[in-house]
Order: sequence, then C-alpha cells, then structure tokens
Amino acid sequence: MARICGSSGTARRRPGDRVNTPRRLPGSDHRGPAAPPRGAIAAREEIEHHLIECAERLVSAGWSPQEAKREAERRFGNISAVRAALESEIRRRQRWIGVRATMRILAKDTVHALRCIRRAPGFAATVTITLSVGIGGALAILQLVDAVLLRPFPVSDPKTLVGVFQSAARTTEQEDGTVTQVINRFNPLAYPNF
Amino acid sequence: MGREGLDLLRGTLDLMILTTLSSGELMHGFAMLDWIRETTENAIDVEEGALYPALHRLERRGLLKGTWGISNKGRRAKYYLITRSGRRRLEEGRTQWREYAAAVGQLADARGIE
Repeated sequence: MARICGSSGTARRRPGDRVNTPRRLPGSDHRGPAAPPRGAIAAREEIEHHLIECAERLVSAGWSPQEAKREAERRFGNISAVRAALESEIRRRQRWIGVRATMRILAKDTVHALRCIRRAPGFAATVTITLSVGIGGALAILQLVDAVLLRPFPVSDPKTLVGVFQSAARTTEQEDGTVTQVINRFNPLAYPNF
Repeated sequence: MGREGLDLLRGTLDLMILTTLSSGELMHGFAMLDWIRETTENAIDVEEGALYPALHRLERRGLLKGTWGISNKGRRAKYYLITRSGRRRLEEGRTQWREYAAAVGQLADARGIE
C-alpha cells in the first residue's frame, strides 16, 4: 500500500520544541500554509478533502470515477452526522477561544490598574477612600429606608394591626370669656386584632 | 457497549492518533489512516467517521494543533501536529497501553481453574 505521508521517524522533534509554528518535515505532503476556512465551511472542506483523496486512490486502483466517489462516501459512513459533530466541536472551540480572549483582556486591565496604583499611591488612596465613604453612606441610607419604610412590621399579618389612641379633652376659659376645648391624643398603643 | 468499553475504545483511538503524529510531521486525516493501516499491516482499520471527531476533540483539548495547508497535489487540507501536552499524554498512554496489553497477554496464556 502506498504511503501518502511517509513517516520515517528520522526527523523527531525535541520535547522542548515549540509547536506554535508548524514546520514542514521530510515526508509530509504539506507544501505550505493556507488560510483557514470559517466555521461550518471548515468541517465540510475537511471531509471533502478526505473523500477526494479516497476516491482518487480507488480510481488509481481501477475504479470508475463515479463508483469511486460512491465507494468513498460509503466507506466514510454517515457524512452528515460526522459533519454535525465537527461543527459542534468547532463551535465549542470558538466559544472557548472567546472566553480565553476575555480573560486575557481582564488580566491585562488588572495589571494596568495595579501599575497605575503603584505609580500614584496617594491618588489611588484618595479615590479608594472617596468611593468607600460614598458607597458606605448610600448603603446606610438605603438600609434605613428599607427597614423603616419598605419592610412590613415583623408580625404574622401586618394588615390587621390597628392603632389605639387615648384622648382627653381639656376645657380652658380665656380672659375674654371664650371657652376653648383642646383634645389631646396620646399614648399610642398597638395590638394585633385577633 | 458499556461506558467503560466506549472509554477504552476512545482512549485507544486517541493514542493511535497521537502515535501517528509523534514523529512531528504535519499530517491530514487521510494520511493518518493510511499510516495506521500500513503500520499494523491492515490489522487495524480506523473508521473515517470516528477519526475526524476524535481529531477535533484532541485539538480542543490542546493535544493537537490543527492548521490549514496546501498539499503537494495543490489541495487545501487540514493538517495536524502533536503539541507538547500531546506528547505527555502519549507517554502516559503508552505506559497504560503496555500494562493493559501485558495483562491481556497473561490472561490469554493462563489456564483456567482445574
């Protein structure tokens, strides 16, 4: 059987070698880089390349081009299922690449911020204290409003609470003879209305 | 087939791919299948439909790096290269593989309880 990509094993890479820049080694049929297709097209092109290579091999073994194409597709199996699996992998990889890019940006921003703080510590302290006081004050007021105005009374059915007041009338007579009656409400009480 | 059986098959396929690329060459899927068939003298015939999802899975896990190139026939193809983590995984896998093969060999040679 002919070997498309001979692997003599003579050109081994050292364990410490970087692999970011692919090198063409003797025996590989790789002749140069090509622009990568995007997303779903990449999956389709990769499968298509395999089918063409396989059909070509069959033609060289005496098959007719049409039969070779059919046979290559038959040998590959469920093409649409494989394509869907590859597309799903590509999407997962792209998502992961997006997450990593965001993390890189966040890390760079954090490092930049830390450098700025080290360069101007007085300014950084002023900003920190100002922000702390501002946020703390706003938080205290909000908690007060929440506790006094927004939250219901801590009883089982606050709607049934009633207020009980006592009132006492006091009559006073002025020097010109007019009589004034003053009603005082006092001692507000509250009890649950069972 | 149970979950363990699937894992064993998947691990074996991953290891076969990493072994194929261990020489450091850029290879596309079709060339890998050829290499495996030739090396095992047609004893192992990896299904095409299983190979490509495995390649993409290994690429996502950082064990392979995929790159697009032009073949000597002038065709665009996706080539794969083993990474440093791929080599580490291969070494681990080879040890497990040998241990497993030795255990199966012992079983094959063993005589049952008499």
